[in-house]
Amino acid sequence: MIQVKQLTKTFDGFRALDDLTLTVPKGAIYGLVGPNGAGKSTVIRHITGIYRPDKGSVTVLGAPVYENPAVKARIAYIPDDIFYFPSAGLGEMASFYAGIYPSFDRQMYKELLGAFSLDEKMALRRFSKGMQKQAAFLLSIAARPEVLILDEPVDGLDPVMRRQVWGLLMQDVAERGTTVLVSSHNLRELEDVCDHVGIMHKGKMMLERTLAELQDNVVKAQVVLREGSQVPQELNVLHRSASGKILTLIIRGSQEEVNRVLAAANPVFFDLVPLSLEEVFVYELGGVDYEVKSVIL
Amino acid sequence: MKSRASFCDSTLLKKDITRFAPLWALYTAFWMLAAFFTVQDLGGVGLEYRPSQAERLIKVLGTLGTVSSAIYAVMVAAMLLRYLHNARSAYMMHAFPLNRSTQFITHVIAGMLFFLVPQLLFTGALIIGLQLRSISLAATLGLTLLGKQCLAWICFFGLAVFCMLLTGRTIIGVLSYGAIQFIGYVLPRMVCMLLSELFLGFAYRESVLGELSPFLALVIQQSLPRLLIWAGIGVVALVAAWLHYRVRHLERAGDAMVHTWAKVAFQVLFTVTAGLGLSFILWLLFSGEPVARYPFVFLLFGAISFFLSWFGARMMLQRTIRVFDRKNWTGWALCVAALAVFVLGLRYDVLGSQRHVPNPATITEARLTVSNYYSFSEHSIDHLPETPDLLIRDQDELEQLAQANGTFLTEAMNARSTQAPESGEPTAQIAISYRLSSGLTQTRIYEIPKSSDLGRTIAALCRKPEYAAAYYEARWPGDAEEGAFSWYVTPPASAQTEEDMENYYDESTDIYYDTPDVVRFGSFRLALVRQALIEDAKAGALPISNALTWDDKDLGELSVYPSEYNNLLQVNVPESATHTVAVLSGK
Repeated sequence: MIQVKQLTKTFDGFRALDDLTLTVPKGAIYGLVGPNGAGKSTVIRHITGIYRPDKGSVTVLGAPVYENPAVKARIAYIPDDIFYFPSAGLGEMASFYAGIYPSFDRQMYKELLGAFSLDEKMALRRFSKGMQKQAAFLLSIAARPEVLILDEPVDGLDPVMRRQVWGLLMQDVAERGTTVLVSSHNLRELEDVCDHVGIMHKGKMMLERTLAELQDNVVKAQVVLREGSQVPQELNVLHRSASGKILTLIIRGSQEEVNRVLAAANPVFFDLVPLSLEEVFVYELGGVDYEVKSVIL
Repeated sequence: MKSRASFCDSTLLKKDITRFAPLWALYTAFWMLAAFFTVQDLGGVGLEYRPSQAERLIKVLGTLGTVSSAIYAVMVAAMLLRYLHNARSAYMMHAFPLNRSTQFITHVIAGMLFFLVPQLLFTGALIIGLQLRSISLAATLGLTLLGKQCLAWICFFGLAVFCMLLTGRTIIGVLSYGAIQFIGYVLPRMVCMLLSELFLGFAYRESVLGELSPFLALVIQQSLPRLLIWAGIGVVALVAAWLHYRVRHLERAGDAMVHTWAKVAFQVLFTVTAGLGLSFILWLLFSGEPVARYPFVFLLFGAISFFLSWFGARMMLQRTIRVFDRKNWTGWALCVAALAVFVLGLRYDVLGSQRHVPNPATITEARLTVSNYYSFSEHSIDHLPETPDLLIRDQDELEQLAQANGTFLTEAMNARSTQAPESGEPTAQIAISYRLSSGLTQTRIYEIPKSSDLGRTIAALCRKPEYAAAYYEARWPGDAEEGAFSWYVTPPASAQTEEDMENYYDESTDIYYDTPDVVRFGSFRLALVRQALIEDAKAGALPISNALTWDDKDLGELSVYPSEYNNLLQVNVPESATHTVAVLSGK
């Protein structure tokens, strides 16, 4: 559905994207994560047809997206910093969206308006940040896109609204098979909704997996070794910490493999614990010099 | 899945029209008022209506239209395109399913409508109003005005759109537009001022400078060829803007200039224009002497001025005051070095062009203007009359003139080098144009001492009867209506007191006595004066009148005025011009 191949983009000598490849299957909810400055927003702007690639290609729904209104009409985009026409109210913006998105659904718009309880006539610039985000969701979903691109979508929303928004998204995906690409730092929430994850760092895609594969590929083990025993060499330990005799190991490998090796080491005790997406992010990027540093003030 | 090409989006167009309704509504109101007052003004004329009034009306409304178009165009372009100057709006607008060409063309169409609708309403109201006043030229007047306004608008709007696309900030776009309107005049003008100070004999066409500024060119005159040229430039600007828009890097929103070449152009033009301007201001405040006498002092002022303008431009481009790095100091130093090369190269005539006098064998004719009443103060060739005072084709005379010219230049350059004080002796301004066999022309304007070789050579030529007679025949105004002679020679016998002489008219001689020192003539007397001047010139008693031939013994100054004061003749009358003296005395 979304295919980015060997994408490179340079701004004034700074390489923001470096030979990046990304694939979002149809109907997937893809979480794009990475530290600040990784290039997530830059990728998103290529996918929404704002930027022209220096090298590589970006195709959405099988066609190049740049300068392609027919494809863009099937994509809805909510940026992290939303723009509305100055002095425009929600009603005016809806009329504008209805004019440029052929699939805009007035009925859906009315339903969502009721659900979000937003004032249609008030100027959008007078809305709070959270209400502006709600308005953006309302307009984007009413446009009935096949692809939804979201950059920090729930930033600024209260917990109730966040749940409502995610619920809407999931419903849309389930009913219409919408493909969603979400960029966010809130990995806890992404974990609940995404089925695909891509981790970016310094303009490159570090890894791209389904969530299940990702969580399967890195394992957290708590181990108590016998006196004189060492951690088996064949394990690819990403991180190690100790609390008394209990060693906590973050190991790259499948659960079965780690289980087999640890069992063979005959420890006093060991247990395999699933990792959160946040832990996967931290420890994966730790291998590329982006680890958490203890800051002492 | 490529989209079908569409050049205009109706949703976006409607949005532009409704969003900016206050702007074009205000413009419409302005022109409706203009129509009202125009009809009111012409209505007072009554049913009789002269074509000259139509011309005057077209000129006045045309000027008003030009000025208002120039201002309105940049406002419209700024409103329509400022979304490109903010990253948020630029990204969002280009995420919508509208390709860049469609967006650009839609905004341009909106801009055209913002102008055209008010103008059509104005034209309609004007034509109807004038026809109700029974003014027969109403439709022609209205449509002529509309056509001219449209052409002026295309020029200004095209340039404004181009400036908005070239820059990343709206205020810089507006300033760039303002600069484009005048820099074609201001910068060459300042360079000409500097050349006038440093290049001995420098002469240039001032009128050309006005043509380089769209605003000045169209305000001064709205002839059809001029409007068509500038409208064409506006179209080119629009096309360039469109081509740029298609490949514009949106991340440049917020940068002063979007392209590197535009940054360089802005840097250089701002530095040179502001730097030269400030240099002259400092020079006038703290010196006021000719620059050629103290070029190094001028360069010092130049270095200071260029420092301010160079780093000022860097601050505007980089949006920071931290611009004093080595690279920028090097840039400033190069600018100052370039100024030094220019100033000193001219001052010391490194290329030898100031001292150059054409080889007499290559000169086909020399045209001299020596009359005192032409102002050469701006070194402008435009002030010279079409017909020269002296037209020399004789080879011997050309050789003599060229040799004297060369001697004068050598002396003048030496005097400049030694910084010799000015002698205080009388001088005259002369313009010499050598036409060469190659078809080229060399024109110089000098201020020459009367006693110089060149001054004496020209004075001798002015005394030649054939030249003097031809001069007076050519110079006498064809529609002379008035003449006056100052320092009247002989009072009339009947006047005994000053009171007697004031406002006294002698019917027999057709002479008016304004004051004891001034007499005026009626048309009959003027005809006699003309005849007398030519007779005296042919007899060799009256040279071409100018500062080189004036004498302390001259009796006074004769002035002859045509009806429009654009062909004034002034003659210092010597005693030897007996016919002229007699006619002036009423004999």
